[in-house]
Amino acid sequence: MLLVLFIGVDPKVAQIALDILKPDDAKYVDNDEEFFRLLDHPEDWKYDVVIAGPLVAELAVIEIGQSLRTIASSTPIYFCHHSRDAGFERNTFIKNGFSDAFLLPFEAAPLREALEDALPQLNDKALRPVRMIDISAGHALPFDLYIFLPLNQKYIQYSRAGHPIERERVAKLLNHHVGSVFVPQKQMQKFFEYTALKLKELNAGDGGLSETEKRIRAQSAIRNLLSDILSSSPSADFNEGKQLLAEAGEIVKAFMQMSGVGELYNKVLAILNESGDSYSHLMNVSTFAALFSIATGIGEPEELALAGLFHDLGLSVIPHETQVKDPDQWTDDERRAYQLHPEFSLRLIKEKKVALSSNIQTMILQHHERIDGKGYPKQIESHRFRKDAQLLAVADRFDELTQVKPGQMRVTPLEAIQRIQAEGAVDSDVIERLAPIFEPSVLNGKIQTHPDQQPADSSWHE
Amino acid sequence: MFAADTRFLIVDDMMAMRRLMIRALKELGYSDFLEAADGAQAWEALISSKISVGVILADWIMPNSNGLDLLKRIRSSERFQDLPFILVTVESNAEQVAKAKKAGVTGYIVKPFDLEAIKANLATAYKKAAG
Repeated sequence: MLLVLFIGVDPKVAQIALDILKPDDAKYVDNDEEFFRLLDHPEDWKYDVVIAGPLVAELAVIEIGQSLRTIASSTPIYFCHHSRDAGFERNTFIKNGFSDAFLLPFEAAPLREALEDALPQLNDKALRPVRMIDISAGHALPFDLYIFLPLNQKYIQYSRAGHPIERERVAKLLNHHVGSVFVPQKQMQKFFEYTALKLKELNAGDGGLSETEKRIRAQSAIRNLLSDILSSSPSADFNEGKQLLAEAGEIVKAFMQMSGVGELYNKVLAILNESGDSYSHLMNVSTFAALFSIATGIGEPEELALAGLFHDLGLSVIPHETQVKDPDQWTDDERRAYQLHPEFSLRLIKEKKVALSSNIQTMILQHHERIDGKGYPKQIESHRFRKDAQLLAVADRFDELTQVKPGQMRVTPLEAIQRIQAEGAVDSDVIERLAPIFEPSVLNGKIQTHPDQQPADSSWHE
Repeated sequence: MFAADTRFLIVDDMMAMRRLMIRALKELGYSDFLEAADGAQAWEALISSKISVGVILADWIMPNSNGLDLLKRIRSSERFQDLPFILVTVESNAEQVAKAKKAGVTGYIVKPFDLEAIKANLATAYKKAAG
């Protein structure tokens, strides 16, 4: 928390400084009395930064600078005003105690830089690239949004948390071919929650959208969210891939909080997190399964997310040696035991009295079945192989294929989905409904907007 | 060190700076202060003060009669020529310090001052005054 002292600053000028200092991170004192009090009690100094102006009765500007500097030898003290009529003389100001002086609004950018340099608290300007699935004019985002201008090599603020975005700005964003947008690291949770809410709305279907329109928008949203992951090549940075997937996981987590099962989801995550090992696989499958469900309209995303977390629970009763051994070298007993793990998962769920719906239990039981009846553990026939269970099977296999494992070639997401298709374990309908989110031609991560905000000329989408 | 009942004359056109200087001197145990906003006022205070001023702390840059003018006037007067005179100023370049020395300044404090600088300057000024 930043403590900011304003002294004699013009209100409009103060607003510019406030914008930079971000109201939710700073506490302000704008009170000349405080200044006079500090003259007698300099030991009470507690401010991180001072923004001063010429509007203090009976005080010359340099008097403010000199006295503040005497009270606080190392605090950044900036003189800010809108005109030179108060005798704006930068060098004189600096000589008299001010750290610097800025004519606003013209010098807002240098002021921002000065503040960011001086205040490490502000300096966590770390921005995360994000994929927005929806930006609409007139609506306010609960987080700040930045865009990167390659020509100027600068990040600029596109919109401010809580402030509605004007129509022209949305059009501008679309027309200027902005590939990615950025959110301050510390506001990422807000981004996850917002995205989850948007996904929720999308999945519930809002007024007037046909099933096809809804599906297209859902596919597009998921494609945008996962585009960095889905477009990654085998050589793509492993850690970055992990980070992106973790962020997708946070979105699903936020999504789950909006349903009745949030508490259960959190509890299981916490337990899994402690047990380590297969945590990332379970988390990934849960994330993919939920997002795939939203994109395809198959199953309920909440159920798929939970099924993903629990699907391999039964592996815990399979001996470790079996699990690490190449399946080709399993003995018959080992194979039989391993292939029972979906049933073990269910048994453990019952033993632990975890309240999971019968849909979820069936998905867990069926996630290694095949439509040709050659899966396990029950070799069920295709008509009994639930679609949502098939989607869980795809998510499971997808994560397995795209994981980096020693001695194993990593496949790209597109290759993975093609391989899953070739393996023929699931219905071609499931793959077809999933395919649009893997289309390489649309993996550039463009921002989706409502159709009426689409510029007539859609060249930004090339 | 100067006795606790020493009378100080604080000369600065800036009220805030006088207040801060007085506050610092109080911290050092002093309690008798005269204030002036420029050289002319200071001279007036100096000659009319019933209790002799023991130390002058004066800003350099002031309207009307500045700190250096005041210093020159004091040094050229018979009555005050040995009065400890400390300039407290943002002017810190060698040329200006030399100018002040030539005019007979006792001590030189560069703003922003702190308690230590004031203390050290007073100690030196006292030694000089004690001969």
